[in-house]
Amino acid sequence: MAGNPNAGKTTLFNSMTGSRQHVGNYPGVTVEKKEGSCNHGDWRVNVVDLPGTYSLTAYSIEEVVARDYIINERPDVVVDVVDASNLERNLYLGVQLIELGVPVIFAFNMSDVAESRGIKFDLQALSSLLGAPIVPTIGHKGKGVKELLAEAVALAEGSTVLRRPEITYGAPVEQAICAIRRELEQQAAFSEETTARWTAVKLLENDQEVMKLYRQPEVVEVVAAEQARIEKVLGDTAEMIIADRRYGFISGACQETVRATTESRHTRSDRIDEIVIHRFWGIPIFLGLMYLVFWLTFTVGNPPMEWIETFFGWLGGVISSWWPDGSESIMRSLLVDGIIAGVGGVVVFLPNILLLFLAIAMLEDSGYMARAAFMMDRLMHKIGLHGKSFIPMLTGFGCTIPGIMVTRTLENRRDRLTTMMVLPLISCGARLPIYTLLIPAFFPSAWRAPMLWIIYLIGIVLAIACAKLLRATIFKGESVPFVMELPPYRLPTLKGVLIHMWERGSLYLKKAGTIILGISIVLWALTSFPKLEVTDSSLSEEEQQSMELSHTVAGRIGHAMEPAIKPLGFDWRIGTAMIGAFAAKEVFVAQLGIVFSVGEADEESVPLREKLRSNYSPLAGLCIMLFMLITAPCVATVAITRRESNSWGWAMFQLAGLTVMAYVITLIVYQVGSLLGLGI
Amino acid sequence: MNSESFNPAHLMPLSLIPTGHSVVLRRVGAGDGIASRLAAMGVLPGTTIEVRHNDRHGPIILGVNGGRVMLGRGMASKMSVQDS
Repeated sequence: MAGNPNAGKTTLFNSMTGSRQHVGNYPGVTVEKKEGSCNHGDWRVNVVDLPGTYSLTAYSIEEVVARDYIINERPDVVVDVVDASNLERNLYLGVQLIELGVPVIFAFNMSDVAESRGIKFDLQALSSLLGAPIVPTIGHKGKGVKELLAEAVALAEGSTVLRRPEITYGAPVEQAICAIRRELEQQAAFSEETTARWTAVKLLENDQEVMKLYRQPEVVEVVAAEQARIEKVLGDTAEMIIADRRYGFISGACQETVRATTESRHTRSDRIDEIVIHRFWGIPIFLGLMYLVFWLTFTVGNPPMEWIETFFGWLGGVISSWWPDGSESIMRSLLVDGIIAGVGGVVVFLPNILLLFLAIAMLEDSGYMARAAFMMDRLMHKIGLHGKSFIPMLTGFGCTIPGIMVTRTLENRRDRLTTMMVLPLISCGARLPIYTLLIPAFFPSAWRAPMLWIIYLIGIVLAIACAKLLRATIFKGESVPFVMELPPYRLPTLKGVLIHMWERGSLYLKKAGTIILGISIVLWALTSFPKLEVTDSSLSEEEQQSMELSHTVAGRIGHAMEPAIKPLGFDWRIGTAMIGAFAAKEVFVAQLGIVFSVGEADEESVPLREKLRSNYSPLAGLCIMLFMLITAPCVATVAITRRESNSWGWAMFQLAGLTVMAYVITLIVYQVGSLLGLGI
Repeated sequence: MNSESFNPAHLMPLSLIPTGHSVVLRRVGAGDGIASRLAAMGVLPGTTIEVRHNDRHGPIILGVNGGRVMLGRGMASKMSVQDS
């Protein structure tokens, strides 16, 4: 299934396949690959929902993916889903599919909307002009799906034969096509008549991907010469002439077969937009909706999170009770502290993620997301990011993981990766306990609120600076101007929104779950082994725990790290706690409690604060917060970055880049601060 | 925009056209496939476009063939239009 964005392709796909869907990625790229299946008669039909495209000229990565799929995988039938209420623009892709010579069926989607707008089609006449069957459909009601499948099967079986119309570009361009074809056919063999012509047209259109395939100097020369000739004769570039001719063919076909009264499909949407993107009301409405999204995610999501925590706590208790009191079974520790805690750590985010994606799906499906991008573009443009990057950033204040997953709404890979890379700098909810423990430990009450504000602000400023830096360096070349369609507002369907939500949720569980779980167990092992054999009965239980942790691999790494982190004002205890914090940032507080022998500690622990105060200066305290703000994101973030960027390279780049930056910045702050005599 | 700076006979950059005006696109002065992407979205030379929203900064919104297309300001300044 191919079609323009917002033509209702995914809704039709959902009606066709229901829950029998599978979401994956196309190899090597971040684009989602949606596949599903359904039955028709004796046939089992595999359906692939290609990314939305406006044309077959590869402009964005999604278009490359869609086109490559059609060309290389040679599907039995290509269903072009067309928004019937915006026919001519939508048929632009259809004409190119016809040119490409693939078996096409048109699904005239939203035919009810078109009808209510007073558009009337002579489908039979139009079908014979386009040389392809046309099936009217209403995606969200599932109407026309059976007929569409019947046509598709008939076409695949060969019982329907298409009579392809000739799309001609006028004498000067046709001459150019002939000249290029002649050259092409000398250089390479073409299996089908249409492919050679199609390639010639694409070369004339300056299609970057096709140009990469035919780089022979002879071909390049002929193409350049023909383009220059066309521009001289017709006064415009070849690509514009070709586009113009395609629209000419479309309007020719529509002239006799489509009757439209002038009413715009946007009248109601325009009225909504008068308020929603209003110069004064637009921003408050946006902020209000964002507040609702976060309220839904983090407030409504909180009770289920607590239930999950309670459940895993209970489960841990039950399993612990299988062993006698005080026994030091490694099996028990692995099950309870390693596996159950690890699985719990993954599942606990699920309510947040599901609710956030529920909200995002509603914003997207209703058409509001495009408006939000419009309003935020001015602001985000200054940082060098897309308007849509605002939402992941905002989500990052709650939790980085859903934030990174929301970057899926960014179509452009460069925007997406930049946003992903800087997202951990936005202080997430799990870092708040670190700040709330440390700030009162080192700073007088008048300073506390401003300190917290400064820490958050530092994160935001660093995120902006890094985004700018990345855009000026690594992600420089691929700059894409901001062009986007504003779809008419639509009422999101429950089914569509739920499918959307579940896709993301299950993806999170499946992929991130396995990685997070694995690393959690490794971290458990690091903080549990080797066991301290000798027990000194003169020590209290807390001191004993502290000794044990110091003896483990994590403790030893902490000790070994000491020379490296000393210039930052840290000692081995902070180093050990930081290793624990890699599992989840909030673990830092609990780990500090153990190394300082105060037992179970939370962010309100007074004895822990006293210990901290007597061991570190306020400058060191600030440096700890700064380091924890910037440094290595948690395991879950690394896993989800790997998953979403589809490469360990980017995840490692993020991990290493942030850690190095944290080290350098903290080093400068501590050393300069000490020189100025702040290090008391 | 005042009336002196708006001469309908001449080519003007699209970014200077105030909200509510309809113009005909004459030329897209940008390479790298952006012109054909715009064409695929229905914005090509000869098309009548209505400026739906232009705030002097930030992106602008166009009405084209019943559709709504949002365009970055930088892009809009490279598109020459003429009063219809």
